[in-house]
Amino acid sequence: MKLVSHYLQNISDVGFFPSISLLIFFLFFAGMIWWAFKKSNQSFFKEMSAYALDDDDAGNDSINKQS
Amino acid sequence: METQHFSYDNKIVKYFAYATILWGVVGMLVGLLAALQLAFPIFNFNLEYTTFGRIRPIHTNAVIFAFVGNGIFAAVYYSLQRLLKARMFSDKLSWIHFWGWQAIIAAAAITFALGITTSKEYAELEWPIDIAITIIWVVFGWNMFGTILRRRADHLYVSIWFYIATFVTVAVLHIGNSIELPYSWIQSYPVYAGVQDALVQWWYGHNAVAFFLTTPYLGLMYYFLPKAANRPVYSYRLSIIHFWALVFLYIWAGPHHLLYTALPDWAQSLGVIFSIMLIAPSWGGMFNGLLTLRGAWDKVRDSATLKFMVVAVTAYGMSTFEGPMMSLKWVNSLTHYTDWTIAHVHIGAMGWNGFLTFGMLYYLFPKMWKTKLYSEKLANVHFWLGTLGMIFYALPLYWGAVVQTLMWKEFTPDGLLAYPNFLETVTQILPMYHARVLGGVLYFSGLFFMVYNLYKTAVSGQFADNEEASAPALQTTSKRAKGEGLHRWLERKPIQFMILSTVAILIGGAFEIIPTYLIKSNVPTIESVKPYTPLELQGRDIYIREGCNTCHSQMVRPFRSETERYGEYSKAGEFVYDHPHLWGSKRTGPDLARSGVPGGKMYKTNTWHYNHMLDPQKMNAQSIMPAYPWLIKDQLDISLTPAKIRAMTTLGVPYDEAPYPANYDQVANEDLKKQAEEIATDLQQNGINVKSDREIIALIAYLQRLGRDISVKEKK
Repeated sequence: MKLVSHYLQNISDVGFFPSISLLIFFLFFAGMIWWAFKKSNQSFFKEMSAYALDDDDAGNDSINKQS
Repeated sequence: METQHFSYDNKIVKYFAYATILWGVVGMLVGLLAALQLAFPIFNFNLEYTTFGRIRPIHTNAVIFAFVGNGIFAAVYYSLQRLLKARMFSDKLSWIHFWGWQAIIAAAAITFALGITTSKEYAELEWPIDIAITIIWVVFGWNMFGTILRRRADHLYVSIWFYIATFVTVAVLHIGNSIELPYSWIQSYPVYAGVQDALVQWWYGHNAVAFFLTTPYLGLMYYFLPKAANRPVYSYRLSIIHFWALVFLYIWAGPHHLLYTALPDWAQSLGVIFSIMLIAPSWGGMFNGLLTLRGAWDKVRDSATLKFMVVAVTAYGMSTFEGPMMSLKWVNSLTHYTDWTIAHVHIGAMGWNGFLTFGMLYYLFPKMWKTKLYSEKLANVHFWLGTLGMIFYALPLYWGAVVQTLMWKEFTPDGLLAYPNFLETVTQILPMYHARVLGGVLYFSGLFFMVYNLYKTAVSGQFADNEEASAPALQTTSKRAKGEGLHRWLERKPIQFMILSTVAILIGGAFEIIPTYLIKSNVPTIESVKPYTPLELQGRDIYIREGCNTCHSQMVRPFRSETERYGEYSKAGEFVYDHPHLWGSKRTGPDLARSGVPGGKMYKTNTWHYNHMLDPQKMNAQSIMPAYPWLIKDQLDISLTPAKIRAMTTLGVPYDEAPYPANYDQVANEDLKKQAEEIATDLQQNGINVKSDREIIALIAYLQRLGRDISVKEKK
């Protein structure tokens, strides 16, 4: 561990890296929100929300239903 | 488009489902034993293999890695194949994964009973088993990614993102926290010491909860809840946002396990802020689960599967609200080290993980055996036993925690501790420990109804090892289609997706841990703090072996109620030679950080320690501490002393500098024997006839060392 901290201490302005990473995180997340609320994606979301339901051969799904 | 015919591997799912049931029964039974031991110490059986300090890690590991672990794999192997319209990549890998994981579980149970442990919570396994876990985990990942790459479905459904995040993060966490230096074929010391070790441990511990107990189960929820209710997911958009937010935020919150400890303030604040932010994505998941049932609540009334799932998701919402609240500093000052933590994790484990697993099993068995559930009524009985069990488990502990923490902090009008005797505060809440046993019994008894019900379901149906399926081949386009958004493209690209989610979790981890290496002032050195003597080091390893740290902390927080009770508050610089740190997370017994300060509030004589280890109830009739008679009987193994000293020297403990002679490892045992002789003589003078080569001598040496360095400094 001495070795690790030695190298880390020798990188100049290493403290800047975490700030960059935070910025990357923030930008990525902002982009994600923008994308999630884009109008043109709504049909895709609708399709995906039922995605788990149609992975079986038809008919099997009623087995577990009580109603 | 050509239609391809293939089959789903149901046999592997069946085996993982059997394993989760079996280990669930075992893990919860051991939990029941642990609860009994805390209520009635006689259940420690005076046997080294069955004392609480060893039983507790068996319980936690069995429930987390065996019960939930196999539950995860059953869910992944069932849902992944169907969501990707492809058989698992390799049957051989599937079976290596299955048997490898069960072998690891068996090895864990044996080594813990033998006292072979690293002492790090939820990462107690020693280095050979750590390596085995790494290999089996890679096999699992290889199998999963192989399947993803061979898929016939275009998109990766949200469950699969959760599975991918689980895979990469658990790999990073496990390797990061398990970097250790072996000193024997089975034992090791972690490379981290003191504050760094604590930080890495809780970066791991917290995120093991996040990425072993939460993300895979969210993936499970997103598949099985819509299936069982036959309703689409409420909001796919919400699932995207809460996925990325969860993955990014969770990794930063680890330090909230170390509030008011010797951890630097900035790290504590970071942990608190991110913990509070975590409420948002966690509740996003909860609402998405519950709202998926909108318009289908009538089904919940009739289906035990859905009942289990609804309570599971609600328990998830409760725990993820309670967690951030507990990381507020003033709340934490009350709840930390108490049974509140135990109640909190059991809402998560019994409610979220347990009930979701049960819900999944009640769905899977009829489905895979192509029949109906044998008895909806029995499943309902299980549901109510489980729910009542949870309530009877958690409420007494919450109540006990409040009572005890207030007693710890109460002062008389004269400014003295109202309850200076720690045992008084334990005796007061003992009835709550009894009630907790009842809760455990209720919850556990529900399992019998489930096992019987699932057994009857299975025998009434027909199981096919391979389930035939067909799907059109996937038209592969690696280029982004026109008008396709970045995320939509991304979610068709599993490798890029994996890299991005890895980056996401590494950012938080790096931010948390790297600075402790950079800023010297984070761990101020204290001149008077010296390395342990060889005998103390051996004693410390016995302390670890017996799991003393499961009930005794070594971290006095800077509160008057604690400095009055225990002595000077703990400082980061005291722990620089502690590989591993032994701060602990629960005070079933008093803190021991100052047990070696002569004339201090916690000081006890050698004789007292000897008698107390031999028979705690003789010293304090109401004590719930187990007895450790074998420490007096067993000879201390000093053959490993040189290897231990060498390992510590490699890790930076200055046994290679003055005042130590050159090649200190070779002569360390002479120092050890000399110190042991002094303690034995002292005991003999007080009428205890004990040989100096017994384990108890080493343990006493260690206990008498705790906090002594600081007290020497004060006298100067």
